[in-house]
Amino acid sequence: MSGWVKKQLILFSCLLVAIIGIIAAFNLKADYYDFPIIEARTVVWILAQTMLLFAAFILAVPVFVLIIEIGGYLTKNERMERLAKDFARLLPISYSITAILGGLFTFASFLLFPKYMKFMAGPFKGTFLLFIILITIESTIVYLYWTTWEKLQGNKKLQHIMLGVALNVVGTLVMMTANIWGSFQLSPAGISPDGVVTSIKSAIFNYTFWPLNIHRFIANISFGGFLCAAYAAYKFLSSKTEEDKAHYDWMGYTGTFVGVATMIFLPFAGYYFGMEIYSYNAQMGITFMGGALSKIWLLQAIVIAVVFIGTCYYLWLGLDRIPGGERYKKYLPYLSWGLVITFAVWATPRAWVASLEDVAGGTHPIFGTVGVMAPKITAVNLAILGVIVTFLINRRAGKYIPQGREMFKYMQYILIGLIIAVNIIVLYMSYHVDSAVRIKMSIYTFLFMAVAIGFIYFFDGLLLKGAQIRGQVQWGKMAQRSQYALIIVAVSNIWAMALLGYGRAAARLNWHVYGVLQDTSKYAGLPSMGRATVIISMITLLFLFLLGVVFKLTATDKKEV
Amino acid sequence: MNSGTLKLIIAALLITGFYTWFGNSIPQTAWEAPKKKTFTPQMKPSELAVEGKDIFKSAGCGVCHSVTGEKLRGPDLSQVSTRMDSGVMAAFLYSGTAVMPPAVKPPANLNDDEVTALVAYLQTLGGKASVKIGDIKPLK
Repeated sequence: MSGWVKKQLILFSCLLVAIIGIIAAFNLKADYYDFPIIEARTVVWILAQTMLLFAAFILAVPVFVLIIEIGGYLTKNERMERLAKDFARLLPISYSITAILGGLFTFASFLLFPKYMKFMAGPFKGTFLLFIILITIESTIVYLYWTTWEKLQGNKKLQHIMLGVALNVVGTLVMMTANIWGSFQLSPAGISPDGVVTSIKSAIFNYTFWPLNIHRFIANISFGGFLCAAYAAYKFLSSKTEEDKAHYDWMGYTGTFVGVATMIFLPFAGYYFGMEIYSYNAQMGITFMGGALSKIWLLQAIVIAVVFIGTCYYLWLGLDRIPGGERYKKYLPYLSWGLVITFAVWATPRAWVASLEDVAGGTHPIFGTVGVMAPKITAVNLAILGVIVTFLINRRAGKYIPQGREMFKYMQYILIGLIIAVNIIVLYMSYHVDSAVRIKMSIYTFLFMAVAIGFIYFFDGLLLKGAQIRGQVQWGKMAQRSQYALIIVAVSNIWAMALLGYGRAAARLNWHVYGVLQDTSKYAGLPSMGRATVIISMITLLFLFLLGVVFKLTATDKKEV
Repeated sequence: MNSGTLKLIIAALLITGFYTWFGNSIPQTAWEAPKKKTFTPQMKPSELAVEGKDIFKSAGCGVCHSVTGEKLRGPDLSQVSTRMDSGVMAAFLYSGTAVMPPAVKPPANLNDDEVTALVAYLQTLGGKASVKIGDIKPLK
């Protein structure tokens, strides 16, 4: 009980800091205040994004832990149970850090941008209270989840899993409550012509509310998987014994599997998000994708290329520890070139202007229409297919395909061929329709791909059912460079999240709430991409540092409860 | 600090450093929020057109419309004044179309005088500016 009180004290102290900020802001006369040396915008930017990364982490870890815990429970796998517990251990301290960052962010936002925060506090007062109630419940469940880990074992394990489910449900509600404010800023609804919220229901369920929820939920699971893999890589590189190396190698693979399995759905969640932005305001969509913010997508393509290629590189190196894996190595150069080409297409900018004053909205002077959205969607779909094939190779590498099962292999080839053909046909058609139709087509292409990928794995299950194993996977027999790939993939993931967080905020241009509340501060414009990347890198390193503190504190905490 | 920690820090610094370098090596385009201009009834149509040209750039019209004959998303405006008069131009700017948001709403968010200046500029594309402040009546 004393532990629970201690955890709640941290949470309530942070709430108190936030409330002091709110009360002070309502007594302030000016619309904006500055912060010495590093500027008000940068302070709020760093606090908001670091808090969001931690918020993603504390949402991701319970999902990840629950998946592993259920897997361990169903397969009676002790190793999975150990992995789940190792990560659940991080939760209490991570919650405290998130609460501290949240308190500081609220405090700073109200004091530095009172005009905007006072506007939001009016109609959304109820959601602010709901948020406080939910995070109190959530932190209580976290405490119970962690402290009952040992007590609820054996025939009580299901109760513990249900506690994990409850934690995830409440965690998702917390995320959705926070998304109300972010999505409303981007695509406000339920507003009268003079800028007053007249329908709170419409304001909550605005155009981008559900896309943002879906995008963040998927991204968070992927984030958790990759951070688990990076932690495993760090431990692998520090390990002195073969046993430890074997454990952390397996942990890295499991984290990567969860990260990739969810990441492949992210581009489609992104298309849905994009579709809703275009539906809300076509010009915002154009500004976002092909106008003032188009360089964000160039950077995003580079970062995601590192994530995809880094993950595949790790899996390709992993073939060395699978007896029989060498049979597939001859295909890897083709796969790697395929991935490089797809990302080269994705990274091709739509237009290339030296100044926004000169922007003409045309196509790239050298690459022409290669830089428009249509080939990018095809490219990323084919890159996803490359990752799927890599996983299929990994599954198949250590096994003998039983006699008479060739039919399932050919079915897989047909499906892969169909995916390629459909994407090429859609690419051709995309050049002849407008943006809104093209984005809708990308959703249908995704649905087709999701079903086709599902069938590929279904046939893979039939193909390998009861297959004889060529030899046990030699966990721990992994080249060190593979572990660096995992670290780079995780850091890139964090960087990509911070980049897209900036992108979402920047899409509003000089509006706090798009079209409703104008930003009249001296920071109403957008920084150059170079300056933005400096701050994004600072945020990434700050987050990694704080994460390191969490790992350090939990590693040295001998008292488990 | 153990060797694993050191390797982790080096890897993190190298990859964030690479992205920062890349972000700084591409052409830099900071975006300034458009500043509201002051217009007077005494301004000549040609003076309004000069201001209108600036508005055309800063309001993002050029993202979709070319003024040089190039094919972009929206119609080319290089000879627009030969196809429509100032009233039709103003109607488009106030009402928008299925794919073009009204210029009086975000992100352009122009006021009536700015719309007039923009119409004056559009008149110079294939013709001569003739409108003055007060000539264009706002459409509600």
